[in-house]
Amino acid sequence: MSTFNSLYTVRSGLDAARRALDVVGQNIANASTAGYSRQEVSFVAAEPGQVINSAGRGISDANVLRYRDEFLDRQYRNRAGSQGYFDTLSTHLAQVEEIVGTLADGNVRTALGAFFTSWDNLALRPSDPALRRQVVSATEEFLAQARATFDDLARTRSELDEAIRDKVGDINSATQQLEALNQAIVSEKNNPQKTNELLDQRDRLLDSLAKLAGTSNVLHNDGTVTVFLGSLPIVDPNGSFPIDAAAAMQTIGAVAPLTGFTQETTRLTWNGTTNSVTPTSGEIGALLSLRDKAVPEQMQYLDNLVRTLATQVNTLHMAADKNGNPLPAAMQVPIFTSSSGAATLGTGWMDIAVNPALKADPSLLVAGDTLLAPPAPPAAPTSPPAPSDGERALKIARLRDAKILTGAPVGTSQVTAGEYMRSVSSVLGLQLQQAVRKGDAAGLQVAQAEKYRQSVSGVSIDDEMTKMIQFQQAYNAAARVMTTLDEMLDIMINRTGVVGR
Amino acid sequence: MRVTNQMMASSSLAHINALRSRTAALMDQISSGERITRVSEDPAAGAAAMRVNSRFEVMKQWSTNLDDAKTWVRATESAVTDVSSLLTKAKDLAITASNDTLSPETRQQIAPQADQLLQDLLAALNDLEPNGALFGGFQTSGKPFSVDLTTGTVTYSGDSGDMQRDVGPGVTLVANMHGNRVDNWASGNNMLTTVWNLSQALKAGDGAAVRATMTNLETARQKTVSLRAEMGARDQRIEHLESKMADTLLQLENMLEQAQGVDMEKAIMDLTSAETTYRAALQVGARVMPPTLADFLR
Repeated sequence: MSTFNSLYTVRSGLDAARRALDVVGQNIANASTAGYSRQEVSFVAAEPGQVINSAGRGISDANVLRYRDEFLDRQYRNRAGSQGYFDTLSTHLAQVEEIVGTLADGNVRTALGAFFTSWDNLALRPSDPALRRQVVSATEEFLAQARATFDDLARTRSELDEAIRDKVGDINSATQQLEALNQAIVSEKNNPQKTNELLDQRDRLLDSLAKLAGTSNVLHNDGTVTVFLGSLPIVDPNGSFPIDAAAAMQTIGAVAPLTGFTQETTRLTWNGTTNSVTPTSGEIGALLSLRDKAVPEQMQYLDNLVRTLATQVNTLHMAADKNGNPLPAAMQVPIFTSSSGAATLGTGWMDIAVNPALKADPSLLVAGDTLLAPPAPPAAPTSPPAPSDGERALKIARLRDAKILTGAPVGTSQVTAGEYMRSVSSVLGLQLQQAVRKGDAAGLQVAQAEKYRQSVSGVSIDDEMTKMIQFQQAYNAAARVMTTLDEMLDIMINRTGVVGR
Repeated sequence: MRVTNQMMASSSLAHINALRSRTAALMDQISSGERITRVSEDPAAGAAAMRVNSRFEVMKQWSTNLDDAKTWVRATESAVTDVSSLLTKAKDLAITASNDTLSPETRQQIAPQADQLLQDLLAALNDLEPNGALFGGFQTSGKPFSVDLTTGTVTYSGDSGDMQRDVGPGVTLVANMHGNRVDNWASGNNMLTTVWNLSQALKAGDGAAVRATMTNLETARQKTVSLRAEMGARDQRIEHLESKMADTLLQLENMLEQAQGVDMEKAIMDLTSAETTYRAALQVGARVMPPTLADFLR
């Protein structure tokens, strides 16, 4: 046993205590850093040397441990994905509800009511030119409101599309960072403290990716990670694979005879291939489902409402009179035309306008339902109806309570226009309510998972203070041993063998 | 379970936030008086509120229609009353003039009265107030009746249009009474021709001819009395519908209140208890958060 061996043993204790205090300092400094995992030095008593009966060779700090539970991480990420999904869904559905109409002012609803009322009033005084003008302007107003709502919905789709591109950017930047981290973690694997910080960064990125796109991940033994979006890998130990976002004109709801609606939207593909990426969870999943389902649905409902109504009104307005005598060609004026003014409605969604001829001359409206005979024979009735004959206007006004609408969201049942709009509002309200509830529930679960995670990984000041005292005392004790050894050596070196000096 | 400082901080923050948003929601309800402003807040109540609102709209239209029908019915009623009293006068005149004690000269002197009656009758039947010809059917712009003073022939230029007014769920009311309901104008016994006949008979001083008009005058008068009764019945029906409509409106208001309104007592109780909890949470947060071992180490 060498003379100074014990000194080195004690020195290792001093080193270890300082090292441990370093880590305590690091923990306290990061007590409120998001995503930080607390660390602890794990000490191992150094093995004794070859000498028989020797004590150990002090302490060797084998590793800096990082407290982290992979299972809790997985739990957290699964729930963060659905929280991201439902929170995004409810935020945007609330905007859609705002557009389609709240209880106080359903714009299209009000305008539709005014439209029917104008016909009702025309039926009361069929020859009043002011009331005819009112019918035309109520029709214009109804279409304008429907068109404004439709345009707002289309604009919402573009905004959603922009948000999708932003999220894709976020995802790609996260995957690039993960690629870099994967490499760094492998190359730094001999530097535990540094690796721990890298692993924290990696876990933070995985958390945010899970919230963004509901990704899943596989951790490898060397600390690297593979991330899947659906079934496609976006990061693996060898690199990252970006999602490409290319804008193209895309058509929704094109079912013959309707050509639907065409708008420039983004198509997501994987890593330069044509494989399309369709996340169904996380924020981007919600954005995609809003863009491609919830919002187009509302647009389609609106088109269905306006189209059915326009067709019915046109039919009634141009039908033969109640005695079966067809209206003369000059009196067969459609109320609604296509946007370009063609006599038949357009096939694209909302390709419907008020007949421009009618706007110029409201007297073209036919309010009566009995054609009169012309003064001279042949006496087939072709003359305009009597001035107070409002029976046709009444028929059109009665469409208010006619069960004329069918299709989503009311299914195959026939409902009135009012019932249809109420169903649309109710369905949307239910969707939103459900999204809010599910988002709240997922939020609670995320909070719960985060709590458990914090319970493992979080820094407790009390813990750290206790450790601080512990290591300070350990340091003091080691220093004391050092002093004792020093005194012993002093006796040995300076006072031994001085007999007779 | 190991509890860290951050956990305590974030959970107490989460609770405080939740309580604050609950308090804000209750405050909104109380200050606006409306429990829901969006369908999504309570889809079932929202649907009910929308249904009630759309019924309000329809009721408003029905009430407009009813007012319009009332105008027509009242005007028609009073015109029919006029016609009826004119016919009574004509009959009285005929009774007086048919008296055998009168000389033909005297009858001739009475003749202008009959002419006047004819003009008055024509005017009553051609009444244009307030919304156009009352008895013209859909032909409301011109005067529907004219009498050829040389032949006594009556021309009716109106039609048989019934003005339908929707005044309730599936309830329709005819607002007007077209000329063909008043009399059979093609017949030589119609009221106008009969009065013209009376005047002709008077001018001729022919007592028997005057007497001959009396049956027709009486028939026409009785007919107008029954028409008047019919209009009276319609008027009563309108009043009945009006009061029923007021009841329904009240019911609708109630339904709307139930669907959308706030139960004030409950809302205020909830607010108070939410406030208490909020205060407690703040206090507990203030107590629990700061102390750590660091505070007690020297």
